[in-house]
Amino acid sequence: MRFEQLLHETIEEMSAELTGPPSGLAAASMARGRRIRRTRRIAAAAAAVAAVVAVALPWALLSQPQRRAQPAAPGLPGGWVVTGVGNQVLDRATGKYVTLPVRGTVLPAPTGDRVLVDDGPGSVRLMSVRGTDVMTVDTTGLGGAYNWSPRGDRLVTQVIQKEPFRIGFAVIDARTGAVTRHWINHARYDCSRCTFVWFGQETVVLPIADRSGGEAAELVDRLEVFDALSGEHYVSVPAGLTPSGPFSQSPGGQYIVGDLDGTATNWRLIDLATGQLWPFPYDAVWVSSDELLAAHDGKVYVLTRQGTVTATIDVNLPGPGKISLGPAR
Amino acid sequence: MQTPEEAEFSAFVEQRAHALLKTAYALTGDRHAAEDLVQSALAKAFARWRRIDEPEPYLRRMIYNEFASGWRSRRRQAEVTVAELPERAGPRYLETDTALRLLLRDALRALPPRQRAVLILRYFEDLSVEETAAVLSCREGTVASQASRGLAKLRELVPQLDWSPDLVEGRR
Repeated sequence: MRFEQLLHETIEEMSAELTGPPSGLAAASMARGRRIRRTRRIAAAAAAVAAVVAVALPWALLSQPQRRAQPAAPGLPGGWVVTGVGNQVLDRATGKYVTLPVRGTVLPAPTGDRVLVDDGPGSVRLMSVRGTDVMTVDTTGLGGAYNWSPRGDRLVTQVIQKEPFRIGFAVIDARTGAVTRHWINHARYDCSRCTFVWFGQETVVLPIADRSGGEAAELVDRLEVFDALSGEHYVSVPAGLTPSGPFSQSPGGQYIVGDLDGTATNWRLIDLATGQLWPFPYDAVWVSSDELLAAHDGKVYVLTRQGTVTATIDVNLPGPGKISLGPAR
Repeated sequence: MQTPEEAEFSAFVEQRAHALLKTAYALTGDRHAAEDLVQSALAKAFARWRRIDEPEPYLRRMIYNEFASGWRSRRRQAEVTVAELPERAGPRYLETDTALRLLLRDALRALPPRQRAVLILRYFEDLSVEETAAVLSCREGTVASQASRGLAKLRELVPQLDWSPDLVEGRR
């Protein structure tokens, strides 16, 4: 049997297994939709109110713990902290967690007090952990995988222009939401997923595709580093993996932890001095030249460079959501 | 008592939700994940219902985009990593179309979300490369490369299938 015919039959067969949409789908969708609208209104109102209040009230009053504050942040090695779990984010001014009244993905900055809230295409906002100073980001052409700079003052993401086709990276100012687009030579820098992440203080990195393993493989040949300010190419790094962010590289720069093949399951540690790759149990951030942290399944693991877990720390924050980590301020 | 907007939205869901759910199920292969995907898209659509002219194409684009961009937003779908198909059936069993369909279903689930979305748009929805790129908000070259990789993986996982030369050589 031919592929197209079999694909049609397979999907039709799957469809026939569906008895129909769940009851109350419209009502549930409308309820969620109303929450999205309300959240947008609250955020806009919060920004307006904050602008007035900031003038009228002393700063000390503003920094009072909020009503829904959670227990204090657990201390992690190297002074690192859990900066957020889902929409619960750490207010470093008080050392307490507050719940942001938003839906969508919440990405707290590793340091500072800014948070990115991603409600999907066309709805990305930056705000403080207190829900104030809200800035809407112009997401035209942006790829959607936002990555914080180590200082929490900027983010980077992929940017694509369709006509004429161009690809590059966008740097977003965390305070103002202003987007600066830098285009790269895609013919020279042949990327597959073209995901940019921050790498060092002032540079971003792009994994270049290694197509020698066949078209199905999502392997990486090397990393190309670009200046975040000028967009200029800076240097090549012979690392065949995809780092997750600026803390994927060890303090001295010799080691990088990253994703081998885009599956987010095959983590590797590379020694740039020898080019050797070792399996690593989790995606991890470096807190010192010998110690790493990994957030997994609601816990934070402390690991050696060899990938041995030496301690497990409970986050003690209820609810699901991605755990974000950040260094001491 | 519903507002006119709510009544219009409810009527749309009643008429078209099943079709949208089928699309989501073809992508996810999991009923609960499909319902979640559809409800999420419907909620976002309702939030801006007054500004949407053609709800169904808009929702389909959202469903495909949200599914395919799972890797981009790090809200990664649980992927089934299948180096080899489990319980590879014997030659006689494989002669039946039912067995082939089951094999293909498993093989589709082994693909990364974007490749799966591209193949379903191209070969089930019969969209052109250009139309697929528009739905997924990516360039045509990406569609072609993702289709090529997806088909290569499927050929590897379901070698028993009749792979036409046009498909193998990327002309279709």
